[in-house]
Amino acid sequence: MPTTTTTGPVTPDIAGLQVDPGLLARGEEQVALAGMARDVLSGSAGQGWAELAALGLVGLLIPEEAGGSGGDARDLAVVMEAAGATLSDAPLLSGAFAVAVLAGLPDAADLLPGIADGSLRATLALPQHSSVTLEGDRVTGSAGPVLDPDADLVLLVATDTAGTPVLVCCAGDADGITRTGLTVLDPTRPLVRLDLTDVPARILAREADLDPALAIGSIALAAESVGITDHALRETVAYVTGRQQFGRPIGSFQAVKHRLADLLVELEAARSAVALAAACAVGAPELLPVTAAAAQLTAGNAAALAVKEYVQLHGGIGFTWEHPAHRYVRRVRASAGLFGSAHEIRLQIADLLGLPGGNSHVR
Amino acid sequence: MSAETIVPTPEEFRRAARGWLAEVAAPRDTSTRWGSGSDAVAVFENWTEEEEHRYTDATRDWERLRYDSGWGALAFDPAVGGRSLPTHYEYLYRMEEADFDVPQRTEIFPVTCQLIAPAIAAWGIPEQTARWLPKLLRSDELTCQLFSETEAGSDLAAVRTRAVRESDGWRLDGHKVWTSGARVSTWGLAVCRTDPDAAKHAGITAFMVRMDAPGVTVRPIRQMTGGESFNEVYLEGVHVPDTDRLGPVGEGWRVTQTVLAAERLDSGSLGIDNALRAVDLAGHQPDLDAARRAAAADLAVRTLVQRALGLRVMATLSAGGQPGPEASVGKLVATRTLRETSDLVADLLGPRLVADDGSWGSWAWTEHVLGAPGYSIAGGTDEIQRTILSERVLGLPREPRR
Repeated sequence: MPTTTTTGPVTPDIAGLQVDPGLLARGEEQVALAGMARDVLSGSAGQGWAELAALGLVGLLIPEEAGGSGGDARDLAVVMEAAGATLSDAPLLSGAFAVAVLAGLPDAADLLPGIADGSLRATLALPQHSSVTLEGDRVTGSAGPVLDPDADLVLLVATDTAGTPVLVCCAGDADGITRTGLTVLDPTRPLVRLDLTDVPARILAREADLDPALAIGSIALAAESVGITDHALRETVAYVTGRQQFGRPIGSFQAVKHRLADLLVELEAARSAVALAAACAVGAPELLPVTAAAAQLTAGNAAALAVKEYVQLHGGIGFTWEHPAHRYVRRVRASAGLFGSAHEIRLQIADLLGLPGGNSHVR
Repeated sequence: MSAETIVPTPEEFRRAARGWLAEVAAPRDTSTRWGSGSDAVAVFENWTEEEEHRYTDATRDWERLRYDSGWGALAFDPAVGGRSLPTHYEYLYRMEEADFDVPQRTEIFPVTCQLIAPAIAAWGIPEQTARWLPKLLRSDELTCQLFSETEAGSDLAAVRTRAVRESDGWRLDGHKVWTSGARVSTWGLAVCRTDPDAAKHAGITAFMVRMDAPGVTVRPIRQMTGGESFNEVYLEGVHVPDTDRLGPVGEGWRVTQTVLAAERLDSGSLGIDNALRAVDLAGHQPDLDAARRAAAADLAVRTLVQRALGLRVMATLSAGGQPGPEASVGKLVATRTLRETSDLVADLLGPRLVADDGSWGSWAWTEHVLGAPGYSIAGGTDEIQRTILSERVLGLPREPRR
């Protein structure tokens, strides 16, 4: 089987990656933002959405003139990492997806102030989980699982009669929508199924390219995974340092410490992948899709290992309901199920790189 | 004028470096297409003594020009030919140099300039830094590491090479192994036991040993690639003047730690080029099944992650900080990249890796596949790296020591 010389090198040009290192570092403002987000999100449960919005955690990507913080993907990553570490049940991730979609649409500018001040909570029905058609200005179909059952505004990709994908939005409580709460693996992230019959919809963009917005969403998800990994590693290090068996801390056994060293490697890899993707969102948009997917993959893998070790290295207590480890296990499993497994993301990256063999499923 | 130096901004510096490089070197030929040109992917050099000298001389010529023109030794003091620039300016320079057709440094050059020269700057007395550093940094005198022994590998503090005081210096007897570049080095930095009665880490002293001194014998070791890129070095009654002792008597362990910390930092970019080539190999297959597409994508992601780690280290250094965990994990990330590159190319090439069919970019990968395991051992095994991470970064309790 000779190698062919007909195809060019992989595209986009990942070999020629050139990014300003400063874009990967956290500045003073971001360190302060991280501390604030962590304090707020780890506070007693039920911090209100309006409170989070008032602190600027909801409208990070919304321009200042529309009432937002005028930040970028790096700020979003800082906040989502805190949300992951604290396993916040605030719908920050679904909000991030929605804002990423809307922030790039001139026709949706009127929606942004309400989102930024918290009075209009938006969510995006992921296109891969929805099947909705558009006739005139009404949508019919179903979507789900959708994050944030109580969202005021639902963004949907609907197919019009010509087969064109159209980005629309409708009120979460519009006539014709039936919302069915779902029994979920991860109770900190409630999900809903939406059945829509002739629901009045506002058309936001025809043939909208959602890929850049979905890439920003991937960065948000990946940053959340970094927060989860960081939390699991810290908690586990503290536990194995104190827990004594055979007359010594179990953290002094090489079988234990090498596993945690491997987890540290995965955590730093994940942090780096997120920092790179966020830097590309700011300074190298041609590499945003591939680096965002790389971040989702790397951080997802890190979190999967992290929660496995979180349970295992806590021994019996880690397997109990009362210990928080299982809540993190649930979040990580649920995220992979909703947003793509490692294998699916790898294939997505292979497509982005133009590797041969795409679009054929069984060989 | 005064010794006060003005640090150019990174942009100014890179522009100036590029300007100089354009005067003295040709741009790298990027027109080489897949399927032609060199397909070499060796991760350990595989050459005869004559080839090693020839290649080293060519690289040395370039390094001398660089030093003489003020583009070498960037982080060092002007007194030894440097410019007192921040550490990461060396990396900024290399980013520019990568676009030009210049000799690729072999291992002994970074060992001399990035590992041992900084240790001399840190531990040498003024007479020694003045005597050694200009020659080392100009690559006039290369220096190898005489660290490992057959009974002191990961447990380096167990070295048995003895240094005993005599007249105006020391007499060294011992046997060192895994020494890269011993055949082309003027000096070797030897870790020796000077006090057999002291506690293990306390009785050690470091010496700069002339490799042409009577009693020094270098013998190449043939490695599993079939090539010979490192050596064993016998030290038999070698006389070393006390002026060639580096650091105080009994402080040799701390001297080696300075070198090894630099070695960990220096290994972060290892394997990226070959991994990208392996992804390219996947990209040039007529067809790939889902498992191979996934494996190639995974490796592509690893190259991004590894470079992102390096960029974070650079960002920390440029902000005047000390790199944290992101630097310590670099070597483990790199050795895994090397392994996964081996796995992907072996899977893609199949029989073409088993028997040389003469096709471009096929059999050449045997050098990578057989060389990659070496880096999980050299410079501190993967297992030692994990112990370092868990104890020094995560702060886990130490192993009970006997």
